[in-house]
Amino acid sequence: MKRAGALLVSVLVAVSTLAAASPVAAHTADTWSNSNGFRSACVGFNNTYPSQMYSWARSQMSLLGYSPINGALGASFTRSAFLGHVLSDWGVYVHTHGDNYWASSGRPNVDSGFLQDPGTTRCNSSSTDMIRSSAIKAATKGSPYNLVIMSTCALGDTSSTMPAAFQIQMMKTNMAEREFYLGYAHSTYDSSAFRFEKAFFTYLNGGSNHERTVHQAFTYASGIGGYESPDSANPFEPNWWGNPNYNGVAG
Amino acid sequence: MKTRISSTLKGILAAGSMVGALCLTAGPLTAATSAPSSSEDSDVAAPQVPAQSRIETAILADDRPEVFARSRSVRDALGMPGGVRNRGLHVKDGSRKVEYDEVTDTDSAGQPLSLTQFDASGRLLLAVRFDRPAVPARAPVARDIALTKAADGLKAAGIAPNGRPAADSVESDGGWDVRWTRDNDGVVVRGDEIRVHVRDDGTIGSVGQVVHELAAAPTRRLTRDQARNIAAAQTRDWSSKSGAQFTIAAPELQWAGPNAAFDASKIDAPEAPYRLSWVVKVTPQGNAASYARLVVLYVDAGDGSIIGGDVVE
Repeated sequence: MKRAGALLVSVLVAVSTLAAASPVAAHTADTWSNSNGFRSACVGFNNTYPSQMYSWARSQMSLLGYSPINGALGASFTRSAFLGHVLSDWGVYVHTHGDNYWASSGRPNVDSGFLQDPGTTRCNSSSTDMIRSSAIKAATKGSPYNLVIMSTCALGDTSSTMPAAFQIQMMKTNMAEREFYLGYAHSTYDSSAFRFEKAFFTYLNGGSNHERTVHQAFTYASGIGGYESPDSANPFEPNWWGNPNYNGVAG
Repeated sequence: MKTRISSTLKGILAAGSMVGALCLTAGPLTAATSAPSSSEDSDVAAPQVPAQSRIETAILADDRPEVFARSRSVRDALGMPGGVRNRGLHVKDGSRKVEYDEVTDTDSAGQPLSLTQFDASGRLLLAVRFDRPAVPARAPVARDIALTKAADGLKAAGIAPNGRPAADSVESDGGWDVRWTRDNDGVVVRGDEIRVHVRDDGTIGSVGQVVHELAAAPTRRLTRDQARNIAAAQTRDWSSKSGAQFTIAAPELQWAGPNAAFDASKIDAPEAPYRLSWVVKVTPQGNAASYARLVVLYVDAGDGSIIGGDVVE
């Protein structure tokens, strides 16, 4: 028993030393996409956007230096996997159905959330598949995040509680923190979100030495236009919070 | 302090992950609690994406002075800042499936101040400024003023939009997005537009123009009822596979781009000209409505085939 305790102490010391001394620590990111909720057995057709957007996000997060990039496309995108991984993440990308749900307690009576992948044997259910911002907040334990992208409907709305789950203040000012949250304010076509994200990442990862900032990339992607929207009540409106001068690089 | 502690905790977790990976690599030792070091955990095949889909070739001012002159002219007309240096590129942009000449004006530190993009025909695709208003405007510009500013800016840049604009207030950075939707003989071209962002202080933040190539209109066109029947047959097929029910809105005639929304085999297909289509909005009912808000079908107005669509998840 004593030996096991000594071994545990040694391991902890080694890990702590490595964390403090290693110039190139791992900066994990997770990319998650719900594909089974939008497959033939649930909606009659196979929506190809979840896999396309997942692949894009992974490749672009990698260019920003996040490594390893975990997460899942499909059935392994579960609430337990997401909440189990999120604490060690520096970058998080989620593509699925999201919304700002009413909450009976706490201001502003909103607990934003998104749906896990339902797996291959059933379809999504709001009551069983929701991953709430309150649960994420508890899992992140006050930990900082660099880049959080909610590729869903509604989680870029000013009422969203999702940014706070990752300790990202809903401010748009220069700050010391290297943090940026991106989401969409209204109901959003997959095609529009994908066009925006491709432009955002392409600009951010362009140039040399990661000299471009997230706000420049956001401004560029917003500026190109060509975004279809479902109706006049739901204009295409990406939104952001965090440090506009951050370059998106991990760490 | 909380953040610092948590950051350290995150560093320890990251290092733990690295140690775990080392242990796994070494063989007999096992890491009990480290995060998975695998790079991917996919349940379905994900399409491969090129890491960089933007191919750039430098343009020198001596070789193509007209590129720089055109950029400067539009930039100045729109009141966008010039820099102490500029850089020209010819870009094959795989993500937008367009080619353009791009000029970026930068400050002395190399940071971009403004950028223009023109296609081979000399049409402006994008003009954008990257600076933020130094101080938020005391009285953000009103909608009517924004409409006027946008129209005046386009006129100064030599762009003549058609039709009446729409304006949406912009939450992210303030101001207004003023949009002119493109039509062809009165039929809307889906997604094609001139979009002008008027900032809170009344200055123009960006002008984006999207114009797709259009195929020839079909000689015989399906009626709205025929298009609705095709959409109904499609949703009956979807219902038989999924049990989900759908309501079908009245089809609208639009030019729409073939896409891979429902057909993965088309993901890498080159961009095809837009086709005259009946665009049908289909709304899932029941449980499916709680996660799939809207589906859109593009029904070719000539042959009735479904050439693509869109989804609001």
